[in-house]
Amino acid sequence: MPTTLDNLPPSAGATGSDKVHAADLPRGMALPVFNPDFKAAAHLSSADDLLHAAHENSIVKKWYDRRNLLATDLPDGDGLRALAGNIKAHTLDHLDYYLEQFEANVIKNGGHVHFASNAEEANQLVVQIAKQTNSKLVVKSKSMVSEETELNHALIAAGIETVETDLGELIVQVANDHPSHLVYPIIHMRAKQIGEVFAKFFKVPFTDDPQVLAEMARVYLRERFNTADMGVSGVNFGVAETGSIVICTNEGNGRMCTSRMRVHVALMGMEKLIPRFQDLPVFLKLLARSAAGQPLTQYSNIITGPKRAGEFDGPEEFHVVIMDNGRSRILASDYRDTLRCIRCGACLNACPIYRKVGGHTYGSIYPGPIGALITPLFNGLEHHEHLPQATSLCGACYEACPVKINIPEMLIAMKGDLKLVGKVPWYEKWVFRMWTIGLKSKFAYVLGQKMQRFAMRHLFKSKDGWVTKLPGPAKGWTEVRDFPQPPKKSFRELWKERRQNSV
Amino acid sequence: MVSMQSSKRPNPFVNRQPLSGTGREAFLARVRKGLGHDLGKSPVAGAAPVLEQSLIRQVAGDDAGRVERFVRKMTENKGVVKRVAADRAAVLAAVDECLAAHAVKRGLMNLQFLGADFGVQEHLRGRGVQTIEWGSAECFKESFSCDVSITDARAGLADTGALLVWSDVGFGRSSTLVVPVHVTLLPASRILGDMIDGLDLVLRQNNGAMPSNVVVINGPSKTGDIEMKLVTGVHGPKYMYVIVIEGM
Repeated sequence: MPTTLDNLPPSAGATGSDKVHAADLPRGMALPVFNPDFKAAAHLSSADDLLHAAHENSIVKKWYDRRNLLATDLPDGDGLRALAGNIKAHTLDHLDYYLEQFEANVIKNGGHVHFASNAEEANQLVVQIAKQTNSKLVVKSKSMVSEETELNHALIAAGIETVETDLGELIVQVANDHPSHLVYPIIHMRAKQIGEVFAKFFKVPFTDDPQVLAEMARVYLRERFNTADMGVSGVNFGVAETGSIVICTNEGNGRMCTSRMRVHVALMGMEKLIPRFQDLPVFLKLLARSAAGQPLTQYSNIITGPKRAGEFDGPEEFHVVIMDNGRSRILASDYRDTLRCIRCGACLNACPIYRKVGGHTYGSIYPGPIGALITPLFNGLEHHEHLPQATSLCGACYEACPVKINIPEMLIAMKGDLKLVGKVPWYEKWVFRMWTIGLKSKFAYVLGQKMQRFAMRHLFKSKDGWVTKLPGPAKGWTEVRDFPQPPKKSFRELWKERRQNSV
Repeated sequence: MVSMQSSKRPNPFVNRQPLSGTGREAFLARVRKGLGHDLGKSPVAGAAPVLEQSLIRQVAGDDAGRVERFVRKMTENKGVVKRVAADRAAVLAAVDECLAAHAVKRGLMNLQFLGADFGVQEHLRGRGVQTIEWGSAECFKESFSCDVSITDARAGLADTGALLVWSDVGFGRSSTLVVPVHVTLLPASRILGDMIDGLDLVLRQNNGAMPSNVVVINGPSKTGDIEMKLVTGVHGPKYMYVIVIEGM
């Protein structure tokens, strides 16, 4: 039956419990969590046909084709990715130096730099700047770091009207939803659902035509751009040698927020730096290709300080807030390479697990393979024990990554770290204990094998050589597929017979 | 493959302490500690990886066919390109062609670097269009209600079919942004190969300093947020025209 508006089921990913705000989180957690149980959520979302249709319609049918079309324009894409990865690795290895260089240059250009240890401090700084500059209306360009700090929440709580201006983020804000993708925040929604949300919000007749929906947003936001006092943006790249920040947008909202307001505040994770101005082409080419399968973002916007004497537009005040929020802990660890990430979202698109369960299932604002890695790093593995398991280890994420983050290898290492936080399940411990006994003595090995074969052949329900129902922790396997029965004789027995016969 | 087993770096999941201290010094100390550096001072970074030109340029490295590639790529980006000779009548005819499909009442003018003005502003006024010059006292406020902007560009970039602009006293950050229709006049000689050449130009023409705002424009404003379906004209121009002036 085709899905109509009347029987439109809610997207399972979107019906998760209410967001736990960072301020209410246990000590040591840094990211807001809106769905703490990956396993339970995955059960729901992996049966969500609407979600799969949305992913099929966008990622599978469009992103892959667009990206592949561009391959002819970049014959040595792999070489360029390696260069990008090396530049990022070098920057991270000398991050203290580049942070100081960046800071000195922003100040030289007439800007202000603030250092925030955590999300709360970052929000306080932005609210303080808004109050000091008497800003009543803030327009926001898309920024994952501001999702991390829940900046909107903090600004609105301080009585400052705050409006998202990226179309996807505006829909998220209006629908009171969460982004489910790093680049396409509402990839989990079909146009019909968005049409519903807008019809209700703008009190207009329903339409699911993306062009008309975008036009509504344009008209609504244009008035805000004309009257807002302060623009808040993220930072795609911070250039240390010039003190510039780079913002890439397709819609132009990033330029609106940074050129038409009295005040501009850029919120930046400390890992966003690159050393040189001439490093930019390397990253700008890769970012757009990986994120959207386009050769460049429509607007690569390089900002170096506030409005200068005699200029007619640009902010009078320019602030950069650089945030740690746990990044220094990651920098110190074997997971340093995760800080190379430029948030292009390619690993999400490439991941069979992400496409099946959707971004909300991961439970934090960073979904997909990179999210499965960094969410536990930000919040503690004990709170996200299932995330390192959210992988098939197929390596598609590593292949898609423009800065060569070896995600599968680090996920394996993180699975190993589960034992450090006491999150290895009893059956896994039991299996390994049995193996330890078996590998220490031939007798125990042979006996164990015999018992296992007997159990699998005679104790459980089976059909045509396949076990159809297993108990306990193995239940999950046979719920969705059968398990092959072991043969009557073991390899050792067959080998022995063969030797005897041939003598 | 990096061996994760033999490292001496601290595991991030054991002995997790809240981040210590606030402010700049504590921030930098945490970073230095994480890198195993002296807590009080950042050691100077060695040379960053060499930027091999051929690796960055890849396809647009050759001079021949640069203009052709620019035209082809800009067209793929949904920009409309017109190639005209460097004379007044031809340029004005091209401007008229660009504006034919649009109801134009107010035009923003930001021609600063073209080297010849071709009388575009005069021509628009003759057609009954009210013109506002970037640089006039009210230009910032008035620009928001204009329905076309006519600007020049510092360069064209053939690699992806992009325009390069930067702001200064005479050129606005937002004069290429706030209107639904953007027409650019671009001398063919200003078309460069790759973005890396464009960024060289920025530094060269500003004596090594950075302008307050540099923008690489790769086509009209667009979004794919709804089902990745292409929608043009969200906040920036929906229509983009580039008049390439040959022999100039």
